[in-house]
Amino acid sequence: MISGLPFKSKFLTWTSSRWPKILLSTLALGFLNAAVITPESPAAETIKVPLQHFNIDDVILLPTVRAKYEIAFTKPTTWQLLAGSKFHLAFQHSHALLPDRSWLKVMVNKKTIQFIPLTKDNITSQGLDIALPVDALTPFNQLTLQVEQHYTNRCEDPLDQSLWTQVLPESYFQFNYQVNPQPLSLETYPYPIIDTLAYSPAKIQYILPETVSELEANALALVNLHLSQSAKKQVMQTSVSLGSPVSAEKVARQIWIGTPEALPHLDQEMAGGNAVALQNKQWVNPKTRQPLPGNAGVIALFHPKSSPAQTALVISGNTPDGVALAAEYLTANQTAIGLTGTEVIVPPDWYTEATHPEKPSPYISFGGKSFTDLEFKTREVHKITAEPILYKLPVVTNFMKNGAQLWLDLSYSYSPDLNPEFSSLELRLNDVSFANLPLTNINGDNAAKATIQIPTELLRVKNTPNNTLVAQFHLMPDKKGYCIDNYEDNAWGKIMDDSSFRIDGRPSSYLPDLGVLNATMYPYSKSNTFNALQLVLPDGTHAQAIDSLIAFTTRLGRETTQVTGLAPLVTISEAPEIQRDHVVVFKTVKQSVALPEGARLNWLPSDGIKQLMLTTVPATKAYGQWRDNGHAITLEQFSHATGRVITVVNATRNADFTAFSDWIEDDAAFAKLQQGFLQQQAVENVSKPVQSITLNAIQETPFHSENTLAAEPQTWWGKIIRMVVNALGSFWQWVVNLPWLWIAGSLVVFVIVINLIGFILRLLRR
Amino acid sequence: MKKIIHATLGIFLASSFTVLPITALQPNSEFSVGRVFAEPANVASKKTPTTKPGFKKTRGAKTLKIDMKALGNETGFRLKTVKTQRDYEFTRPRGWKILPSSRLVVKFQHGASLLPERSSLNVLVNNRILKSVALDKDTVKSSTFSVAIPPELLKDKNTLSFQVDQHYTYKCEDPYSEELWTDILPGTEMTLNYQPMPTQPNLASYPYPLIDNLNHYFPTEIAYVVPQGLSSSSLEGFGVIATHMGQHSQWHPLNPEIRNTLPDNQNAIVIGTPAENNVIQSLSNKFSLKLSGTAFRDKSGITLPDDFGVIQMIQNPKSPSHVVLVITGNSPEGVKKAAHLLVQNQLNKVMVGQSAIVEAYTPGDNYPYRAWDNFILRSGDRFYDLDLKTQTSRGITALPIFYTLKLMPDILLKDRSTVKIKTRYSYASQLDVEQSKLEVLLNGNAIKSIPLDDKQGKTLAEAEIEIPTEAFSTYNQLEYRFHIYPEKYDMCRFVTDVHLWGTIHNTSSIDYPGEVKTPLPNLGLMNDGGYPFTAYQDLSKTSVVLPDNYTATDLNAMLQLLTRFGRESRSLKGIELTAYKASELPEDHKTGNNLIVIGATGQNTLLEDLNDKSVLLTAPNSEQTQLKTADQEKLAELQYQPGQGVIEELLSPWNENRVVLLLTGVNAPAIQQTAALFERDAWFKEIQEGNLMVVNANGPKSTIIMKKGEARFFYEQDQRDGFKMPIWGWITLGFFAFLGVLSILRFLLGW
Repeated sequence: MISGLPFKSKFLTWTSSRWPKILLSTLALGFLNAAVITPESPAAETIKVPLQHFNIDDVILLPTVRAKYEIAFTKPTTWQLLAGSKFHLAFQHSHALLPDRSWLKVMVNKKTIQFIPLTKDNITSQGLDIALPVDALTPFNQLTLQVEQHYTNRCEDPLDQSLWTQVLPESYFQFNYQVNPQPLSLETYPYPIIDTLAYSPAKIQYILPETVSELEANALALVNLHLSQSAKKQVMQTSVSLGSPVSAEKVARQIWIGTPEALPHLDQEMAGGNAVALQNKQWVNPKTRQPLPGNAGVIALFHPKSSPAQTALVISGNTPDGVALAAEYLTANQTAIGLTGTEVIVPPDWYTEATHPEKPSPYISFGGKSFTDLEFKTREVHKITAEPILYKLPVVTNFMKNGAQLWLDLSYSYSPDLNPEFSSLELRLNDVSFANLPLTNINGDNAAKATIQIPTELLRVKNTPNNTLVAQFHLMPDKKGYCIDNYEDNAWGKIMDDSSFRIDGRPSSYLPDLGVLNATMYPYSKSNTFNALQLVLPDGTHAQAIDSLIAFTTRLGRETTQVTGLAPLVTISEAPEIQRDHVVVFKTVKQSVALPEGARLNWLPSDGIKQLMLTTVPATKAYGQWRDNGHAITLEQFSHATGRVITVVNATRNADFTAFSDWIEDDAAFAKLQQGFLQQQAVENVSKPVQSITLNAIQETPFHSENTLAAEPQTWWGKIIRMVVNALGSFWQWVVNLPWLWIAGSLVVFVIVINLIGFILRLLRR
Repeated sequence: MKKIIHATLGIFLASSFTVLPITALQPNSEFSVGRVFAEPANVASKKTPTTKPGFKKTRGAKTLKIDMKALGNETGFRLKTVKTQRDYEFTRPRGWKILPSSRLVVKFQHGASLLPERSSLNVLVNNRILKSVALDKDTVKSSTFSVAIPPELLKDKNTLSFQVDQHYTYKCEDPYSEELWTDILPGTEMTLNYQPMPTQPNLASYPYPLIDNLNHYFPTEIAYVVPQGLSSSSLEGFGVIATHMGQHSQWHPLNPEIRNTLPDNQNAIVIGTPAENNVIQSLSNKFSLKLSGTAFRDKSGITLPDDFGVIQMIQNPKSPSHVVLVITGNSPEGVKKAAHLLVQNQLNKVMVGQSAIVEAYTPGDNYPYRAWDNFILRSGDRFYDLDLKTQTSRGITALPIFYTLKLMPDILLKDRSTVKIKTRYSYASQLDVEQSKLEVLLNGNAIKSIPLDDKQGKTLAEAEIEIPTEAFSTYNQLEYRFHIYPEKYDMCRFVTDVHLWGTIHNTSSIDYPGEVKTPLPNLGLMNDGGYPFTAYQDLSKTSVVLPDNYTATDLNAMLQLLTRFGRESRSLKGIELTAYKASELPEDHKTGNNLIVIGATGQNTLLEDLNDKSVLLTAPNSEQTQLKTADQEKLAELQYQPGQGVIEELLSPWNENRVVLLLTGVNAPAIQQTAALFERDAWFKEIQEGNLMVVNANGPKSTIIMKKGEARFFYEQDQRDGFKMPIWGWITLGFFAFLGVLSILRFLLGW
């Protein structure tokens, strides 16, 4: 029985519209996986985890004579699992299976926990509760569903279509557990702030000063980016509270960022420690009671006095510089620093070499990428029932426009004794087959190479840059085709990680296009240290806008590989100095932010009046101006010079930022982002799951585009050249629309040339 | 069909006055083999969408029944070979909550020789097997089973699949044996029980709930509350909204109607100023922008300027589950502005809330001429230009791959020549190169067989397929069938086909010999995408002209015609159609646009101007039963009755590169008949080539009655003539060229 919310309504005081929406979506759609069930005893809790949590949205098909499917599941560090934890299995199978030779086996960590004969009695969908071996579970576990299926006792085709079992999406895990508190220690940071083993979203409440300084905002962005890079698949839900915490009970972790003076409630919540203590709103040495140096940083883990079951992290110092130093220290290479205990004082003179261990972004843009760059490992499959090898291949550039070509330099190997008539390696992209490599060497091949052109029309970029490349080994044993029931099947095939993608020509950019943020956060993820990222807030920004900024960095962090040396920049100003290439501005329609010269927005909502200018090359002005009475968030992206992108997030009201934060934090809702330079997210009064929000994308291609001539020049001479080019372009357009001019002009030129030739020849003759 | 048009006009031009019977080509509609989607799989078989009579709706019980007729196979479907699958798409309209009582009843029968333990029929929804039944001796004759459809399984777009695995022997089996069959019979029916969910009016969702593109089942009904007496500007607003609704609806059935009051159980669009339209005043207390007298005020209470438009979307006071969209303003100019901005497909996406005050609107550059989505516009167009996808088919029972190729109706193909389709394809390795081939069919007729003879397989191979221009029409169904067999194929061995596949790439292209050259007038081009009125897809070169004292019947004719032209077109920007009362038609629109003139004779003054141009204008209140041309020369004797509508297309007397479409007759019933032509899918589809049509209760009759020399070829570049250099230009150029040649000869020959 679902008992209700996993935290009390007191937590909802300032984010009254936000948390319930997330919860509603969780409960209604099961996406975030966790429905908390009435505990059997005060200390015991139960959580039901559907298969959707493991990215299994459809049935699990187990085909052929033998097949298996593995689901990796975790046991969070603080859990002590109790009896009654189970895997609920719903399945159905083909009626053609021989009951005495067909079975489904459920294993956990390679040990069988249930053996199910596939008989006539369980053909249709069945629900079966299988107890989990709670004592044998480790932090990382594997549940295996394995079948053996036969339809005849002799002369069987192992790939026959009638051999199938489906595990249905109604299957789920149910864990009964008690939470065993763990001693606080920075040694395991980012745990316990982020527990990557947990099934529930990581809820983090940031407590910031009433007025956030730029240094503190930078510390906030840095810490959150670092945490989200650690979280990866773990969903993070953040909230921001200015001044004092809002009680979050046991669900949310607190992170206090700021000086003790700016956080007046900190000393009420934090008891003094061994290394540092609070006195008169200053960090002091608990023994000497002397204040710490102004620029020293303080990092501490503690249990707040008002909610001792809660965990809180403070990133502080006696000055904003100290706060920034503490954040930098916390997100630096921890192995080198060696965080221990619950309190750390960062000396003012602490300095670490900025290593900037940039890693290639895991998507295809303008240059080739190796499998290693894309985090594709060597993969090996076995036997006639070899499962397909799947690669997620995001592509963020347009290969069709300029005729650029994408090549796959494939390195693979396969076993000896394959049947050369039927064995091959098939390549598919987005469900379309495009190449077949015959595996004809009877002795196998340990270092086969092939170069294959990938049909670029198959690449999906619009709306989502996600592509699925499949390498399917068809490994037929030598005796395939003959009526031999018992043959050895030692076949294997392998795709090596030294394979790579190569690009001929230069693909063109889609920018500005919000759609390519999907799955990649391009171009903001070009550098995973974010040294080209600048986040801008106007002065006097509300907590909701800061929360949106944090939610954006969370998405950014989760889509990038973790590195150290993070260097995002947050600017709080209405006339910011744009120092970086990739900028995001968070503002309400009542606030204004001066954009750099050359950056022109087509969508101009001000207080009450909305204007949209649609412009295409060379000069078109479709224009509308109106006032409406609705609430919305709009995102507009602008590429104002080569490689430079500005995205402006505009909210009708401060409260509407909440809708943006909910949307960008939710994986399914964020995946609805579509191609276009402008997108509106309607904020409706009706309470409904975040996944069902109304998103409207405007696909009109504006005149600006990254890496093209249309990018706005920055210099006076560039502008003159642009004017001339535009004028010539307009004239050319006019000319090409007049075919008679071509014909007449050609004839005139022809006549003139003939006369000239005649004239010259006559001169020569004289 | 194009060829017939040209042939017909050719004959016509060679003769003097001729009445010719016209026969339209009916594209082959038998494309229902294999794994194809039921909707809109037979696009090529119908030039215009038709209402689907197979859907039965029980309104009170909120039940939708979808039978085999509705799915596109009225007589059922036969699943052949050892394994095959048939997919049907169906949707879940927005705002429907599907109830657990929804069920699927499957009626089927199968071959008597199937092995029961080796043969089964699977029924799937969205890849999930709902039921698997053995094909045994008990079900050889017609049998039925029922299975529940879990609501949680359904998404906005769904696929119902029937999958068979059938065998008649354990060894030496012919996978194509005639003994391998299972029939899905017409009694098969899906029953969706649902609850409509309440709708909140919000411009962010526009055009929903007026139009729901997931509603594939019932005609969308929209009541236009438009009174007589609207000014020309408000009429234009009405016209652009009607066209826009049609464009959003596309092939979905749409039933618009004119009303004077709000409907009880329907969505409505109310257009006009508060002074023009009393219904707007009656809704005053429902609006977020309030009325003071007949003037709207903003939220601060200031009366809006006259040229501001107002858009409001509210719940229908008579039916809370429906909405009323109000397009208004304090002056007709405001109404026009509001309508134009609302139908601008980018601007309306960033509108939000229940009301908007429209202050300014600029349409921008003209919509590109001939920018028709998914049509072959020029020689060399690729399949992906037509939004066609790359497709793969697998195994020895590979399902055919279909593409619908639509040629712009204004392209004149060269006689006795060939259209060339450069097909790019790939196929797997280890095929039986002796037997494997790619078969290509056009409209059901085999036209090419390409051997798949490379044992290593091929990626991005290319083959040229030549099609006689006479066989290539406006709508064409191209089909690729991969016949692929494994090496050493032997019925008596377990020869796998899992590694076999063939792919057709959408980088394939079409080259045709021909030019943009359209003989007009020709009413037959109207159901080839609304040509020429939709040549600009925003209808920016089209004006509608109504009588000064137009009636509700005239308005209805305008509504039905513009809805139809909307459904035949697709503008990515806005709608820039104009509309006028006859006496207010500006000269530049009269001379610059295609005109649609609506009204009974004697009512619309523009008809009088056309008296000597039109071949079949009747006198007001005529009692004649025979119609004659203006010069009293009898062309045809038609059994004309006063209630019959007359539709004629003629070259515009004010611009020989434009046409005038007349919707006329002697009385209101006649005008109503002309409206019915555009309202009814079946009638509109029947429009044939010709410049004149008479519409009566039985449908339209087309004919050609033209004087020699009246037909005219329109070319690319905005329907202008091709280049015509004046004769003196040719003489001058020739003279200089002659001098030049003489100069060269003089040099060479030493003169």
